[in-house]
Amino acid sequence: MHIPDGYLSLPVTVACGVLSVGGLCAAIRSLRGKIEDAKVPTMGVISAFIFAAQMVNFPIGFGVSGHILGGLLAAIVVGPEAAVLVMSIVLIFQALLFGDGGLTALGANMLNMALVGTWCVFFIFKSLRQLLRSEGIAIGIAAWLSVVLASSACAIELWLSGSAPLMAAFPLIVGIHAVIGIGEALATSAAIMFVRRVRPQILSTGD
Amino acid sequence: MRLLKGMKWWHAIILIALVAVALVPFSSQLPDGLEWAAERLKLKGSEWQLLKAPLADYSFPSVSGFIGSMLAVIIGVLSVSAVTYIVAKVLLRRRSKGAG
Repeated sequence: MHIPDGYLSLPVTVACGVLSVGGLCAAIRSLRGKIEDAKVPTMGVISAFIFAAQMVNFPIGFGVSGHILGGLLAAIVVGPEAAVLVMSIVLIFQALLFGDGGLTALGANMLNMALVGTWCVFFIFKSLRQLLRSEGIAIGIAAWLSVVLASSACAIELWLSGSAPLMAAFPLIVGIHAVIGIGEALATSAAIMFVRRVRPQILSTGD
Repeated sequence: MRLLKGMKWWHAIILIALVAVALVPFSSQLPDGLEWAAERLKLKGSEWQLLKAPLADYSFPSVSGFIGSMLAVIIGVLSVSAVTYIVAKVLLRRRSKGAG
């Protein structure tokens, strides 16, 4: 879902840049002096995991592939603000070193994946958990939503840029990501189960 | 599981790098969701890039094939985790009393 150079108009590029840098700064501000020593290496490990996971595309049928986003996973493991930082660092490296997502689209990609698909989705997860009284189901639904909502933001940005009509872009982009999101739901559930088994103490309680 | 429980954090990062290196040759070359949709929407990306990424498409310049992508993957995993670690440790860590 990484937007390349050339899809977005200048106003959309600037607006997304302002929003994503603002969000990242807010996250850093709220984290200042609050990261416990034990959480520092956990953040290093989760960023390595998300970078690696996003690199491996799996086929989903229809001649299309997708990859894990990992935003909800990061938020559950290190907390939503630290996850915004982790996801942003991954996206910055992808754009700068690997050409995965255009550098001019970095703001939009951070907005979609580090803020909408991570921070927003974490609060949806918390509400769902309370509503459904089942953490497992809440994780599955929220993980699926992280991909769907991030791709929705992407479709809206393309529409606002005048690149594609909303009625054409939205069903195509969000539709295909609704399928990819099933992989996200399975992978996030499996990863959380794994962490709970191996390192239950590092999971942030989310409160 | 027992082995994984005793793992130190840098073991985890090395393990992630190794698994990524092993999986990258199997990564699907099919267009991703957005590329697939962009084709149907006739979106034109620009040839122009603000910056030519040095390790574009997870490959290493002048080192082709598996060794090249292996290098790119290892550099990526290690640098991303190192930067996150340093940012967390230097900027954000809770200072213990007396340490300033």
